Amino acid sequence: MPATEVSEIPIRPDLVAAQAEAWRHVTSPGASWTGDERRAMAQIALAALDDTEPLPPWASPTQTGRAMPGAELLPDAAVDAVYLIARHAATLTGDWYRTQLARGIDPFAYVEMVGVVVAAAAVDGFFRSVGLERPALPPVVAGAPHGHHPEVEAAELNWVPVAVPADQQAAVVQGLSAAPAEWDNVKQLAAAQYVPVDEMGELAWSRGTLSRADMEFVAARLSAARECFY
Amino acid sequence: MMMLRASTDAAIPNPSTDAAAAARSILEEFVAAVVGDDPDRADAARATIVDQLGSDWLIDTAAVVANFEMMTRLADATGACLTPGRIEAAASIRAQLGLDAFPSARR
Repeated sequence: MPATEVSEIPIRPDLVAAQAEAWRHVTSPGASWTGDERRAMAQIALAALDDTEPLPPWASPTQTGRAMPGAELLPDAAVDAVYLIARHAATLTGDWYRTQLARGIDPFAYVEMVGVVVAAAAVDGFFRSVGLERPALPPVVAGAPHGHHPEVEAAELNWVPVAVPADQQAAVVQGLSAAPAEWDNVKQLAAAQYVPVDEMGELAWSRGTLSRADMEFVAARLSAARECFY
Repeated sequence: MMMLRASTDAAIPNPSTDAAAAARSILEEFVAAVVGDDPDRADAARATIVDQLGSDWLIDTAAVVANFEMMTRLADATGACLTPGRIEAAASIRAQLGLDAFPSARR
């Protein structure tokens, strides 16, 4: 590195706080999964992202015998799904989603699982990009899943069920609405990583570094690199 | 809408100055480097951002990368689809950029 080492660069306090909150969230009980199970999902997602010899999209950890941290706490279907979402999300299809349901993952549990994986990918993505060691996941918060789910219905714009009324919001917004606490976590991360929700319509908004147009440029390049059609 | 939708809705003007164009070039290389598997290239891209734009830019650019590592997976894992109107409206740019060849376009 040049004169300024990355390790000496301060990280914005709001970003540190949002990431710490995300880590607390993914290791706490949710609606369908315990904190132990959610932490195991995050561990598997991070292991998938760290994997220097990743499995191809058509293979899975449980089929191939690839050891995954925390896998003993989860159904095989969840282990495989978490790995694939973390590592090969662009290859997922509606048929694949329906296969996960056939393997026994409840739709509410699936959506919550997606929320855990995307939060793990966010925190990992920052530290990987900036070249610093990722903070460890915190200890688990004990407790049973609360079991409270919103009223949902099938959507035209997503494979997953969404909170009623469906298709009144963009697909990416309603995608986690069956697990509202996961969407809340995504929103609080996005406010620190990208643009606060109440500033979203202000195209001149900036933290003083990247302009909004620069942010959209980075977003577009990253989305293309991840082959995300949406 | 927000985030990924905003990424396509927001008008992204062409950089109007040489400095802005240079900054875009640095950001483009940074994203390509950090999603790749060459640690030396990533280190060089980080160094360039810090040297040419400032350390705050490294943090804020990495944060945007993190956001879209999150949002792309959210979209793909929940089967997020564009409305028929948006599909139609974006036909020419999809063709121009080759987006229909993405695996995630199969919905």
